[in-house]
Amino acid sequence: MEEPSHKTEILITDDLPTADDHRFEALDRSYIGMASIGWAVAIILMIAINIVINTLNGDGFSWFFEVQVLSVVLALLFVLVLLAVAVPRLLWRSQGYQLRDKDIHHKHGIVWRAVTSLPYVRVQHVELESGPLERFFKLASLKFYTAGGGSADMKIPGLPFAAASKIRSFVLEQAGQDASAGHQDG
Amino acid sequence: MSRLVKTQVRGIRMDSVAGETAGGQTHKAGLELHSDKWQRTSPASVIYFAFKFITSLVKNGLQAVAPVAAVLATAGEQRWFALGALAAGAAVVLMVGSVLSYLNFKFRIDKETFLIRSGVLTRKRLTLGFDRIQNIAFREPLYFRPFGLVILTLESAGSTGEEVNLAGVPRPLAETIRRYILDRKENHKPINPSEAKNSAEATTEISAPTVSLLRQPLAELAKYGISNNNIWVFAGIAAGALAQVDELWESGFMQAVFSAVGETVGTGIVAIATFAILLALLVLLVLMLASVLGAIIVNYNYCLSYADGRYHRTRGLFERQETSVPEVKVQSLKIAQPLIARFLDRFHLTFNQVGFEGKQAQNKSQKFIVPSVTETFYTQLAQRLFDKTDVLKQTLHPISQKFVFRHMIYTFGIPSLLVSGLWAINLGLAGLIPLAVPLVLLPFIVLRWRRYGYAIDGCHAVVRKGLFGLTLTVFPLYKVQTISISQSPGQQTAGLANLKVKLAGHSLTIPYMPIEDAKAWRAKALLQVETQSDPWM
Repeated sequence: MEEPSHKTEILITDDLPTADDHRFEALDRSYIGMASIGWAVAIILMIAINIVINTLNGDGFSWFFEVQVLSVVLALLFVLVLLAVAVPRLLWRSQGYQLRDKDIHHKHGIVWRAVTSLPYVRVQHVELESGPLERFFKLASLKFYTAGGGSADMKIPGLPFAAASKIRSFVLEQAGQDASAGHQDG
Repeated sequence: MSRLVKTQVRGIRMDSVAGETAGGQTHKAGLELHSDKWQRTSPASVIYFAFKFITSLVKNGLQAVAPVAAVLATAGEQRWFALGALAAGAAVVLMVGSVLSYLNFKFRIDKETFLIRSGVLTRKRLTLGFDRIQNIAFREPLYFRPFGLVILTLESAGSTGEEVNLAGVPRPLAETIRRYILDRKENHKPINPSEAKNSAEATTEISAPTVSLLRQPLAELAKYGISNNNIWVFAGIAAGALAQVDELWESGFMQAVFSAVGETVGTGIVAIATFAILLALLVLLVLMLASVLGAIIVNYNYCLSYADGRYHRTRGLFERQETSVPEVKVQSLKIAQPLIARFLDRFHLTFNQVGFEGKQAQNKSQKFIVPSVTETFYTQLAQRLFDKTDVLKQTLHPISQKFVFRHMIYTFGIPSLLVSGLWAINLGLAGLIPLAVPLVLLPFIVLRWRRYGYAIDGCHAVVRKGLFGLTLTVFPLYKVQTISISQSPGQQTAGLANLKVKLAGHSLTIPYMPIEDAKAWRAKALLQVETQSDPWM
């Protein structure tokens, strides 16, 4: 007789709605590739713009190529490339989402870590977004909107397309159920 | 689902229409609640349109006056004749425009929508579904009082520009319209017709007793005028206006003033300083008077009452305003005490409603403010609003002292170090002046840190912040939209976190609270949101 009651206790503590930080699902790995391309494009663009400026100014940056300056520039470039390799990985690792019975959580931030929690009942609408780059990697982002403000309250990037639409319909279903339940009570 | 609701609603309406034709809803002015024809408002609304025209002219200000000035400058000797002709012309345009506006303004109340046609040059047609009407307010300007007419304002959900003013409606009709729309809005839910009929009867029979909550005498309004932060708004406007008047500075008027001051009080630094302080006090006094006057004009005879799940407010000297806000729409109660109000021991309350962040400023006139109340009043009001909560009686938890260090070092310390470093290269010792900035700001940071406070009970929470004054925000946890916890690396090692609570309309942040507290807040809020089925808006 004592054993079942003991079990119940465990179940209750397990059920308590504290956001359990250890069970976040990771984003799709191809998100790293996508983010790297984004960074690479940004760096290439930066260098290209500088080359254009240089030619327009008639080699205005020639002092760049003096030995001392050049070493600094190359060092900077190296750091930049390092970042381009490391940051997407960190971006991927720092993010995660957790779907629960009644709410969804999103963890984000490399240095400043944050967890945003959103109960399904408060979801106004969900947007599934997939840009050209995302489409190439077969990824999508989910944007959740509440009545809280104009911009999205939660944005989860790097989800496989199928998973994203599955989550979307699940969340909308949950939100709809709860909303209709609320209406009848009110 | 929605189609189903619609057909039911139509069924209800057939019923109610039959009842109304039997009961007779025709009013004195010949206006009716329902009719297939388009109706005009009372002819007196011509005055309203004239006023509207004039105020929009004043608001657009200088551009409108520019042609007049041009005429005056070029007309030479016939200046007065030209001016007179211009005034007469303007008056004719105003009259014709107002009459045409009146003639072109037509409305019709359908079974579930409010239809409006308006506009002289550009015709506008507006269809406003009852379900989209957020609020119905009355305004009673001075010039409508002899006729017993009011302006009926329908505030719709969404964009603020989309509100409808129905000017020149007899008060009884306005009240019938309000009751009709509110009943229809509330009766959206019933499932079968018999139930709907019952509830319709119930709403007509029961007129729940109105509880009067507050009546503000002039003295309280004066206190509100002195202590609200509008003084600084006035000061800004006044400063702007003064800066515009170049002539004042160029005419030598100020030099004359300065020399006169020099002669009378002497040229000693002490004398001039005293004079400057006195002058500043005088300016402040004038601003306060202006603010008091403004507060009295807007809030004259302020009454707050409660009936049928709504808070009603009437106020205004020249224009009586009647606004109401449904209890369920109140997302949080803001209790503000600006610096001056601390000495008067008064608080100003705001019922925060649903709205988009950033658009708040536009709705300023629609803000539901309760001016100049005592602590006992707001405690009771909070209990009335939020299920007898005692959360306001709790002692608030402070946030971590690390808040002060963080701002001293990261927000102000490092930037000032960088700046002074750069300056010192060029300026020498004088370049070190920026290093003093964090020290000067220290008392303010400490003040800000001390103002922060938070408390929570099972269902409600309160957050305090401020610098000189303070602001308490009380809200029921089940109205939370999202909640997020963030930590900087330093906070992670110190076991601290920033908590951001998003409500519909605005968000609250508690920085540097212990991570356990932040997690407890999140757990409690999520539990409330997910288990409470009460409508939140």
